[in-house]
Amino acid sequence: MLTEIKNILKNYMAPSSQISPSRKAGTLFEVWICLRISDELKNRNITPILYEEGTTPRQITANPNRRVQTIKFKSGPGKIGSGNGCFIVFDWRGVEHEIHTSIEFEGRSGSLHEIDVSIIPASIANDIRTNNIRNNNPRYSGYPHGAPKIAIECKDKKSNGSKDEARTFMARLYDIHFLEVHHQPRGHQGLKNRIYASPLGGQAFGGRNTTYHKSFNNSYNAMCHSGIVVQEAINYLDFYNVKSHQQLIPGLNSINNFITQVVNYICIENPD
Amino acid sequence: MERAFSESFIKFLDIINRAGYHDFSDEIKEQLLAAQQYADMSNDGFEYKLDFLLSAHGQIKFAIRYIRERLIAIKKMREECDEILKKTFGLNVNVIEFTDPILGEPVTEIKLRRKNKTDIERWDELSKKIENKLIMS
Repeated sequence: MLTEIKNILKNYMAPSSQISPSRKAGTLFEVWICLRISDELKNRNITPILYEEGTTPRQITANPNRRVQTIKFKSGPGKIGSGNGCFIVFDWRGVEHEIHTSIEFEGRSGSLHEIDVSIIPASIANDIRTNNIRNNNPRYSGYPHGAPKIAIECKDKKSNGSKDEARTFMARLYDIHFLEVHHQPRGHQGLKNRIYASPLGGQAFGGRNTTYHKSFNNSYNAMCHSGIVVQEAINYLDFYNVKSHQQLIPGLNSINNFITQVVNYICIENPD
Repeated sequence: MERAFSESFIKFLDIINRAGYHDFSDEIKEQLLAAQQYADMSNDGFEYKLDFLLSAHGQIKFAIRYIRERLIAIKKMREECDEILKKTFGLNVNVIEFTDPILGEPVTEIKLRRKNKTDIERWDELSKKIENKLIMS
């Protein structure tokens, strides 16, 4: 028993040393946001389809032989085409897009940045799957290179959303948003788009902008918190046209308003 | 502190830690660290430190309430996920499993306990033991 107690107390002092229920709950928060977006898309006559990730993604449909099923989602940051977490495909004005949880994006610096809930063109994801997984092509790392069209940072925490959390999210956005004025990102060869399947080429999508403000305006980026977000953090994000949403808890209007805003962006606003 | 209660109390500390509760005062955190060190060397010292921790009535009660609220929020999120999976995708899902992002192996899972006790019921049972002890101490 003492060894067990020792381990428990050790974990208490180093809470990040293991995957814990708090992470499980945090992951559930991401899955919940992801499914709420899908549900609202369906309400607006856009059909979302659930897939299980893999070399060739498998569509998940109701199994008539089983009364109940198990579905899987990623527990932590990962690649496109790896593991077997679920993602959702939908048609965004004639172009297939995918909603993912916990995907890492490669920035200009070559660093990887996890985006909790992201929406990317399916052409990018499929190119990664085809070339990275099937052919083991060294040009493809498995991580999208650039920025998603929608990036949502999820914070399922009791403590208030701080300015530091906002800064951390902004720092990720700065690295994954490519501007016209930027030098060629490391390893790039004359690429001019918003997002690529690989730093060395492959499928590309969207254009670059001249400023971060325009680039953020030309995409949807939000920090979502289950608790309160301090006003200074809200103001800071708002200055760069990054949204912040607080008190996202089941049953409150705040979650409905947030989901409506995201799906309005998909259905009504017109980014490139 | 009797052994049975000490096991419950350790389980309680483990749960509140894993649920992301870090609002104990520095003094309590120091006592937890001391308890860990005593657990290596002496059972008596370890028990003594746990006894000391029980003196932090207010903080422990706050943690109990916090975990209960978290469990209720998680339950509601899970229920909404089930409802959407059924309504939007036609799936009757009993387990949402979280997988290792690289290997695809399951690492944790949240089950709907239709027949067994819910997480909230089990938490109420455990925290009741702690609260009773607080009243007695």
